[in-house]
Amino acid sequence: MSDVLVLENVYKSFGSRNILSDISLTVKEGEVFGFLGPNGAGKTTTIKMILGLLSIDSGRISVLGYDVEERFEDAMKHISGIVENPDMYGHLSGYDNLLIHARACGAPKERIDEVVQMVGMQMRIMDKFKSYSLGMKQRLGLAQALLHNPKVMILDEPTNGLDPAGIKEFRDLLKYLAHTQGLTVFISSHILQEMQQMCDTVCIINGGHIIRTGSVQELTKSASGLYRYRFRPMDKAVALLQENAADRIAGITEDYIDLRIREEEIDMLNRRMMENDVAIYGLSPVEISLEQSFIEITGGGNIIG
Amino acid sequence: MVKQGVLLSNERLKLYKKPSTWILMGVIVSLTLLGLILSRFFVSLQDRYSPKWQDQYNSSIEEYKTMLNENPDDINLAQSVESIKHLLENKIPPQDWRTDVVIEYYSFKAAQLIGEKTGKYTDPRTNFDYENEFFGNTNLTKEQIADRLAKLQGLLDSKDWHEYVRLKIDDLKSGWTKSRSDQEKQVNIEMYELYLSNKIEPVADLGNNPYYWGGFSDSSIFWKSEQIESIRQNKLNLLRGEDLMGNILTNSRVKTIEKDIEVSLKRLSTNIAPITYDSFMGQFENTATSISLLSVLLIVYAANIFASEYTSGTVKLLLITPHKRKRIFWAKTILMVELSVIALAANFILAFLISGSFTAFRGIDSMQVMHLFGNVVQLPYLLYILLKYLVMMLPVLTYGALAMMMSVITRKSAISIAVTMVLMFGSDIIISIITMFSGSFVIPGIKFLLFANTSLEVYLPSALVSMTGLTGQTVDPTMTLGFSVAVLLVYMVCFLWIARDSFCRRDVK
Repeated sequence: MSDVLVLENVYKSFGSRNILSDISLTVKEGEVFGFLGPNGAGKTTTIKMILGLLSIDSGRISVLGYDVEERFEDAMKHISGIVENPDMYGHLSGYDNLLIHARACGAPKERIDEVVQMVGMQMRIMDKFKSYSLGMKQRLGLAQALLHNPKVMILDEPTNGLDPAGIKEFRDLLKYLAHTQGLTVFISSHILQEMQQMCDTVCIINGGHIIRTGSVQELTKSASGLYRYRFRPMDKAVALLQENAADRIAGITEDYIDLRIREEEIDMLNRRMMENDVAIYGLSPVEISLEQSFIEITGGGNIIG
Repeated sequence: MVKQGVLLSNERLKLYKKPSTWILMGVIVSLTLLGLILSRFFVSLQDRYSPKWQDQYNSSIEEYKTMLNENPDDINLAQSVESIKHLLENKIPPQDWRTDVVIEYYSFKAAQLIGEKTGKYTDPRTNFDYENEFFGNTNLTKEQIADRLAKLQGLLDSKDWHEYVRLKIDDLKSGWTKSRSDQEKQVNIEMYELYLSNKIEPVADLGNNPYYWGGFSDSSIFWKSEQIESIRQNKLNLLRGEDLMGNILTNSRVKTIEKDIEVSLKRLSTNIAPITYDSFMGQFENTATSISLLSVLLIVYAANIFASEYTSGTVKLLLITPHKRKRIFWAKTILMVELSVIALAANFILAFLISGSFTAFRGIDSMQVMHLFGNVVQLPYLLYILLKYLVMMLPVLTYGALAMMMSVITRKSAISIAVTMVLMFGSDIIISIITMFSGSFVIPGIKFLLFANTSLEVYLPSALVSMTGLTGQTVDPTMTLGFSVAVLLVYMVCFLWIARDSFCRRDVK
């Protein structure tokens, strides 16, 4: 697999404020690359630099080997993206918006119908863009990003504002595209769960620094390990746990106990409880927010919201 | 070029699919045309309600009769009544040269009657001989007055204008009509000879006629004598070194006057009448001055074309296409020029049709004689109006470039529109105040300001200006059309260069 998108020691500052320091990463062909970080971490800034919207203070960004500053036009032929929101011309129809982009990118007109088909917008494509729901706008944005058959697609927080059904739909569409069209997807988000289900590789960024890059399995293993138990009787279970594994208790309420345990310990714990006549009514992994995973990864603190 | 064309057609799609584009253009073009319709309306009102000369003479006669009743012994009043009666009975319209003869005749008649009564014969010409210094009350002999009356009577009998002109020349040569200097005398004689050599019947001086206040004479009939009189006045001004208002002539004024004389002579030799204000061409031409209204349209759209991409966020989409930003910038700039050309063409064609329909397209083949880049040229008036439209477009485009620069720098359309409009209208006021004093002193370097050069109509002759006599002025009398065009172009290039540079360099945060 070749490298389709490479960032080497990229720096950016607005005035005296450093936004990005020493960002280096490599995206390989065909992978779904997650770019993870809390709001204000520098995700959108990085994306804007990749797409040539912001100048690069120092360092180098290349798309398929083309430097985005020196060979802008060649680089942009192979990349597309949606930055922040899928903003288009509200007074024009979805079709006209796609037509404008197709002409600018040199995509043939027939391709418009293809991408409309792909995102399932045939029925509403002649309506004005401003009349679309957010979900439709996202889909149209995706259609626009697919127009000129790019090698890499950059998506900046694509599920922002979508309802759960919309998120699932979007995720499925993306998976389909990545697997059938050989598309490399660079996707930014601040929600770890989302990344977990979509991405092959994840890069975590905070405060303008890359904190960690690795496969999803590696990252979630270290970050996860919090399970929510519902025992009956509760008081007995609490007493037992406090006696034997007080350091593992992450939180207690009337309803449940959160325990910090490794996956392979679950079976043992369950047996021990059964042996002591404590019934387990519920067991689920606790969804770890990115903030919590940061605590795990960085050993606490230093989250810039 | 192909890539540029693709981007341009994208920009077209965005702009022309906005209904507001056409609405605003419609409003502004209709406004300029409304001016045309209104002025036509007032011209027709004026025609309907301006009294006929006979009515004016009749009301004058009544007025003099009332005064005569109060002072039955006033010989001057009695002769005034006689003079109006004569004009009415012989159906002599106010523009007819004989009017001057009649008025002069009865003033001498009054002098004769007064002389017979008092024994003191006074020259009556004190009040109305515009060619000369005031005489003061010079005494004449009884014979001189009788002789003059006989000559005037002869003219009234023969009705031959050639004799009238010859009498005028003789008057000058013999010293009967006194001149300020020999040179002025020579100029006056030359002018009367022009009447004879060009076979032009002279026109009575309306300013001399106390019984008629009809205003302007009909230029379409009397334009030739008007041209001669304007040459005469211009030549006298040059000799005196000052104009009728007593303003000292500067070098550039002298040049303008010399050009005017050349143009008048050319008109006489080629028999091309000046356009009147209420003619087809006159009305059509007048719409060129309202072209500056189009700058409102252009400012709004030039301010929007960049700012709206930033405010709606579509700039990101625009800039991640495989095109250099420079190319995108030019696509938008070309579109703005295109939009102004469409508005200009709509204005031109509609103004042509409307002013033409008012006048049944009479005089479509009229010619213009004017001074252009050092030569007296004659060209079809239609072409002249087209040129005027194009020249008037230049300041509009410059303001458009300014708005575009503001829009790229501030990325907000409201502030760009506001700043450009305030600069445009505010500076207009300041410049017009400065212009009022430009006769007496000139602020050095002010002619290089953008706002001193935006009123190009002051350099271009028009029927309205020649009718009202209100020629525009510039803040510095040494300025010419070529200078102002050059200054505007330099500003436009600067604005565009700054805008392009800023658009191509700046981050899209």
